[in-house]
Amino acid sequence: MMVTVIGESGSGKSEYAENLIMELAGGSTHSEKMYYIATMKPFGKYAKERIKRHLELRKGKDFTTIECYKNIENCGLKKGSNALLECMSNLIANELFDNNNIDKEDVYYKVCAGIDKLNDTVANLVVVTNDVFEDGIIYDKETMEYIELLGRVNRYLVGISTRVTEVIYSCPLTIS
Amino acid sequence: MEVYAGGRSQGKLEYVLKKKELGRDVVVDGSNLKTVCGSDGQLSIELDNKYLVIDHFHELTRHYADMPEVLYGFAEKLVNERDDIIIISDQAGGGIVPLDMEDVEWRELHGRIMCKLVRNACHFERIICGIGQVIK
Repeated sequence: MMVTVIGESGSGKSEYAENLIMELAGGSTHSEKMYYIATMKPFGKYAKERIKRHLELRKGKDFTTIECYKNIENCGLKKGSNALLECMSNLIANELFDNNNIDKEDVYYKVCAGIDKLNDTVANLVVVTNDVFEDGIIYDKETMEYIELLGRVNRYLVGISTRVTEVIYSCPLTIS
Repeated sequence: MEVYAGGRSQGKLEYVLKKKELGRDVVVDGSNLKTVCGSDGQLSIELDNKYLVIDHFHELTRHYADMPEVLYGFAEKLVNERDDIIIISDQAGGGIVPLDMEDVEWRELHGRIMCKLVRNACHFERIICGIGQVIK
């Protein structure tokens, strides 16, 4: 089963997604491995604080953390396991901005193929993604391309998900 | 406690006043709430019991973003002592992570405080174009 969880900053989507993958894996007595695929690079004050907070949230939840900033197709998960990928917005930024010469079309197909591979490997997959689309600001060309690409990838995720849940201030709302 | 949130200029206050049959005399703007210093030397945000609605709650969290403990204390007080209060706020987290760290920290803090209020609220609606969508 694949579930996409979307929400804005500070919406409580991470906590919801962690509890969801635990539930899908069979609760605290789960027999298969639970992976947390972390896509945020630990650079800068903001990233460090976010990572610290997320580590505290996951404390005692028996996740095996895999730091995978790019190339999720190579993150090597065990067949039949459970995985939570957090989050798509960082993965896309890393794939797009770490290599100046990469074409955004290539990023789209690479990330979608990576998600397909994960989805084929694990029994349950939860993908967290961000709602960055609602501030109405016109950014520079690169940022606008990033927003467009993340929007496309989100639509792909929704297309292959069993369920899509929006989290609004800690409240889950199933939208598909 | 009831919470109403949504984008800017969606008619949230108008919606709430009409629905709850309230006048503007019971509304206080989040930007007008002040802190008082208690006998223990701790700052807290003061809210007169005559007010039943806090509008622009995001302005309050923005104003006191550098004092998160004061905001959490106020949220706790609302949860414990004001089950009649209605909170109206803009949603602030639906964009690209800002370049300014102060904006980043405020957006996160605002989201956390709102999560706390909504978890404890008996009713939560999102307002879009003046239309309410009941979420809780």
